Amino acid sequence: MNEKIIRKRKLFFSWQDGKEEVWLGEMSRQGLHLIEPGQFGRFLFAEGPAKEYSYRLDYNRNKLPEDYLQIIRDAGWEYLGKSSGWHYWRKEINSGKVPELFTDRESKVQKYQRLLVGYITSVPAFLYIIGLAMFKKFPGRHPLWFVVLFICLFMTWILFAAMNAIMIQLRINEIRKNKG
Amino acid sequence: MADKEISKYLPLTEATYYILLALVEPLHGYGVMQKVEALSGGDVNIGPGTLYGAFTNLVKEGLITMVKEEERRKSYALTEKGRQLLAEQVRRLEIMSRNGQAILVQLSKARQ
Repeated sequence: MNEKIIRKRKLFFSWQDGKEEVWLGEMSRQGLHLIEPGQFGRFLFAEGPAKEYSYRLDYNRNKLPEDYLQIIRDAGWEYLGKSSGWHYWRKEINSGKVPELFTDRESKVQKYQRLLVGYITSVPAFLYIIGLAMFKKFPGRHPLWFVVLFICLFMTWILFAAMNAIMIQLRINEIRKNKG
Repeated sequence: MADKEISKYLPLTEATYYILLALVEPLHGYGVMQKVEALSGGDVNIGPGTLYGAFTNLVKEGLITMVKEEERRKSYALTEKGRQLLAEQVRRLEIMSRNGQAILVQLSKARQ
């Protein structure tokens, strides 16, 4: 089989997973089927006949338990891979019924709560990983610019994480209000 | 007969109610999804993500228990506590339904 591979770049913010799901569905309708999600908005598609797919994203930093994966696979979903904590699934849409991974308010809210925790814990994680890397790579006395650079990077990350946390919380409020 | 232990779970959500109904016999995850859909005449669909979360909670509350593990499929069934809860929910639904019917009958008589 000689399928054409197409790369596309498109960035989505963490709270735009719904938008991303719709976009991936549109690509499949145009005959471009996701093979693998990549880091920083890099997507790998295979060209083929147009299909109606429901793409769904789940967030989980941890390795998913085997029995969990089994239930989703048994239900007819295809696993496409993981990118920064997001797990990509798809299932063909038959007779107009759009398949969903999460069908009640509570489980939808819980998904975004996992994401929220991810962003909150990313702040100390940043300090630990980037800080350690920077200060280990340049041991000894650090010039002022080096310390300032580190603080600037750290502040930027805090702002970015805070923006994500706020938008995710708004998404949670919206789900609670809309009853699903 | 409903003690506090059981009352705190009531009323059950539609999804939880149907999951418990399905688990009067041991079933694995996808089996529950299919049975719930059949029982409800296609009205209630439970997504696999939602079902897994429900299993975890119900096990934690001691309402269902894992009875079998084959390859990666875990089968669950109601515990005694789960059975009591289900019976109490059905009893309350019957009362609510009876009262509702009675009022609606009165209403339509009054309109004539």
